[in-house]
Amino acid sequence: MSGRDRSHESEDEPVLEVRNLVTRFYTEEGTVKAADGSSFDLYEGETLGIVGESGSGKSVTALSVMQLIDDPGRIENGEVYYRGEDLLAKSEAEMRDIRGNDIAMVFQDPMTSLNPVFTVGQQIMRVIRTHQDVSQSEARSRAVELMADVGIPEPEERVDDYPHQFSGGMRQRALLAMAISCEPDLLIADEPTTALDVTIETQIFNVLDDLQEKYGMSIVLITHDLGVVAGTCDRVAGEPAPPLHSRPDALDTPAPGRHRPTHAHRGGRAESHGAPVRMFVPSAVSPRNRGVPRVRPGTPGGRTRQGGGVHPRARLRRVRDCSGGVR
Amino acid sequence: MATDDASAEYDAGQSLGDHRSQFEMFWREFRRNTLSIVGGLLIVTMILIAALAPVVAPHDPVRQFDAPDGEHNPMPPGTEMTVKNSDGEAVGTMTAYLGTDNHGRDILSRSIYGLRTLLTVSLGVVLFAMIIGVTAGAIAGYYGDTWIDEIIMRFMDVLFSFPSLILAIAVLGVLGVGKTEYGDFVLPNLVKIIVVIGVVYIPSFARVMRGSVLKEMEEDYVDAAKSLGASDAHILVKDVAVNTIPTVVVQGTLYMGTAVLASAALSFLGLGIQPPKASLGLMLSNARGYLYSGEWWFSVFPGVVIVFAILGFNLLGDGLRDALDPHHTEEAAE
Amino acid sequence: MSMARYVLKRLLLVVPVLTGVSLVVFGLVHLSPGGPVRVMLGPLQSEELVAQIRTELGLDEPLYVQYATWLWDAFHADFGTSWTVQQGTPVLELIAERVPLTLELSILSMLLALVIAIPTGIISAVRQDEAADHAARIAALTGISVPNFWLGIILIMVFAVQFSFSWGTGGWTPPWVDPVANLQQLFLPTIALGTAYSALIMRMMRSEMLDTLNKDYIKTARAMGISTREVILKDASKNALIPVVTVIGVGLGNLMNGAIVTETVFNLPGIGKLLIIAIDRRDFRVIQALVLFVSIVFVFANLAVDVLYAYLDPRIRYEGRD
Repeated sequence: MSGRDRSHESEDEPVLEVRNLVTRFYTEEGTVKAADGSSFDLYEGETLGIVGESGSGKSVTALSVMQLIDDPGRIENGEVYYRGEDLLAKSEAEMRDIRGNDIAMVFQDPMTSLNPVFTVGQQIMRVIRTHQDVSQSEARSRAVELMADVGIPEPEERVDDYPHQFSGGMRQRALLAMAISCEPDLLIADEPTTALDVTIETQIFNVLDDLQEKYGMSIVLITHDLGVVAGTCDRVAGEPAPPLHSRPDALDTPAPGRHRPTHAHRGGRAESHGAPVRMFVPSAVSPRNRGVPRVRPGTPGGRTRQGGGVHPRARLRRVRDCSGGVR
Repeated sequence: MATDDASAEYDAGQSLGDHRSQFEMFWREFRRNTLSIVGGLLIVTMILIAALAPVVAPHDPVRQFDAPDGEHNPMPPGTEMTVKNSDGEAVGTMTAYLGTDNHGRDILSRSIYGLRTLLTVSLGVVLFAMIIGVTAGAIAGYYGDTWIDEIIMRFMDVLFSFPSLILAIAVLGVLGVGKTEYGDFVLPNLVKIIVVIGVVYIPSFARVMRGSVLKEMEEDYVDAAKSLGASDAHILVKDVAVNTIPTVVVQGTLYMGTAVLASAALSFLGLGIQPPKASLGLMLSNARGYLYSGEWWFSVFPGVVIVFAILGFNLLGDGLRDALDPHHTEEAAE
Repeated sequence: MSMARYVLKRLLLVVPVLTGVSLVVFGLVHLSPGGPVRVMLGPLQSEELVAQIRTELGLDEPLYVQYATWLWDAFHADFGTSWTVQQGTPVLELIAERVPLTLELSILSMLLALVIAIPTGIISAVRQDEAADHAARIAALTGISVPNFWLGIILIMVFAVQFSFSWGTGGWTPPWVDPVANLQQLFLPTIALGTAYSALIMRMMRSEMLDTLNKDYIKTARAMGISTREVILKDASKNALIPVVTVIGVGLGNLMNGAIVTETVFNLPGIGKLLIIAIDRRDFRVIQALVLFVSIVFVFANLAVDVLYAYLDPRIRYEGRD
């Protein structure tokens, strides 16, 4: 798939459009294709799941969208449009205005994602004051509000706590508060619950759901955990394709159809809390061939030696009709 | 992503029973670092020169040569000096490539013998600290959290509380330079110097060793072995040794740099090896009297030799440490 | 509240260490064969004189009595009077008049080291494996490998002799008498002493920065739109500086070491020079007092660093809370 081809999705413009994104890492051991030809669209107010094995390049895709790929990584190819604007053409300064303000991101491990030497409040306030012209005290009361929004009890007191005084779940809430502090249109959640207990996981998804309802943002949810998919999207079909060079036969082997057939049209998606949910999974199927997804059972959580690029021909295939909402 | 995999591999290499691949990893990492190879070559060269000093040095370090004016005056590098026999008859000439000192002695030869002295003392210092420290640490770790451990480690804390050179200077000052005689017991100067410099390095080795033993003691098989009458003590020794030797060697190499610096400093203060033995520190101390009269070669050459020795050990130590721990987690925060 | 408890806990740990230090320092004198008086007087003096002085100095008492007396006096800052350095002058006075120089030299060197090392370390880490990084690392490696006494000698030779630079070649004017002359005198010694230290801190700063820059919270801050500059200077640097603080404390002890040698090279009348004179003249009281003094400073510098570390790192500051 090349070029900017949005004609078939004409009814409304996607919030985020990713086309054929290729990111490579040039290490001493050789070149690692981390994100290889990902393509997907994300529409207003919906939640898009990107499912794939660990190391299949999901996080790198997200970081590439944010333009946070550092040496030795490089975005080699592809297009990223945010509300029709080409993000890859933006300068670092322009991207800075977008990050946290229009597109925000939370990462996998809440234990290490907050700076240990600043209070939680300071860190939220800083994001607010980076993007908005508000006073210290306004930012503070906004931070307290946000902490209440994400369900942190006694936010007036906990705003002055340091991250280590928070539990893992509370830290992820704090990170969510930080991420939504400037009311972004798009939130990328990269495995937000992988590092947390199952009980906490449900709570975090509830918070995400509530936030989406309140702020009406679109969400990209990255996960390797089919449990999340199974538990949240009843009619999701499809499983991640393993990196091809570790299993050279994958492309030619049609997988047992553990999936349920899905519809090929966006119109078919289900609504839940007014938040439509779709799932994308990388698979060795041509994007044009959506009607008959050929998938194979993956081994979620498996680790691949070479950084596990997805096969060149693998695409992020859209899976629809995901009811039940993200929980 | 790539680093994730590297760390997975590294952890695998760390696990017990995989010592071979651990060593291969180590060697691969080490070889990749040009600077540590340079350091290693520098050290090997210097050790060879020092060990073969009698062969390598062109002249006897204490032999005096005559300047062209017939005196034992300091002459600049490259001067042709007259060699006389014991009867005072000129029997030939020699070229002093690095010049001569105020006694007409060859700086090159003195530097080579000085290096020999310096490396001997420094190696002695580190070996002394290593042997005592490792033993004390092993005992403390084996009796972990008992009064024996407590006493040993408190004592280490005390030793750690002395700025290194101060204690050495004070002890040498009290005992006086040269050999010390306690009745029939004679404490040679070299041993004395090694002990007083080395004593403050003991705690570092003890701490590493204790930590390693403590960690090993938590393993299940140790309990099992103990309950069976501790007949498997050698397994403990072997595992601890395999896990600790690399760390101790790296620490020893890094401390070599420090030991060279300390020995040279002590020598410079006149508290180290005594004349007429050649010592680089003493040569520099002597050079202080000639700073204004232009005999720059007095101070430059011995100093350069010291710098190369320290640099070599630092490069090598850095390389070994990085190869041992590619992620370079500093132990600073204990 | 919990910070106070931490300081208290840390202070209590100092007690056994200081007891040990005092024992070692006291024992020092008795290491010498024939006892301190014999060594002080030399082999030529008669046994009678030695015995007489021993009695006068209380060295005939049992060791534990001597130790108790010495410790008691030391607690009252009474180290007796000097025997041979400056007969009759209280040892404390001798030390007190020389401390300002050593302290000033140490602090100036430390400041110089920090001013050079912190920015260099940050730049080196941010520009990892670029030319600037290589240059800085090689400079730092050389820096830690050059003995300060040799650097001092070279500095004197190059500046004082070649360029007839009259600064820093002996003597000391207190800063409160003539600050300009004072700084001129300490200019070269500060460079000689600060260089190696600067190299040490730079290496530490660099490696801590590299470590910190890979942390998730750096990624988070950048994902929130914080500028790279701010992320480096605020988020990363503050975290990286915390461990560097510990080196500063350990380094203070090393600076004392360095000061002894540097004072000898530059002929500065500080406590290092005093120690050398005292050793030369076998003035045991002065030696004892000096070693005790320097060790106590070292112990408390380390204590101060631990407390500072705890204060800077909230994870330790709030230890025990919750």
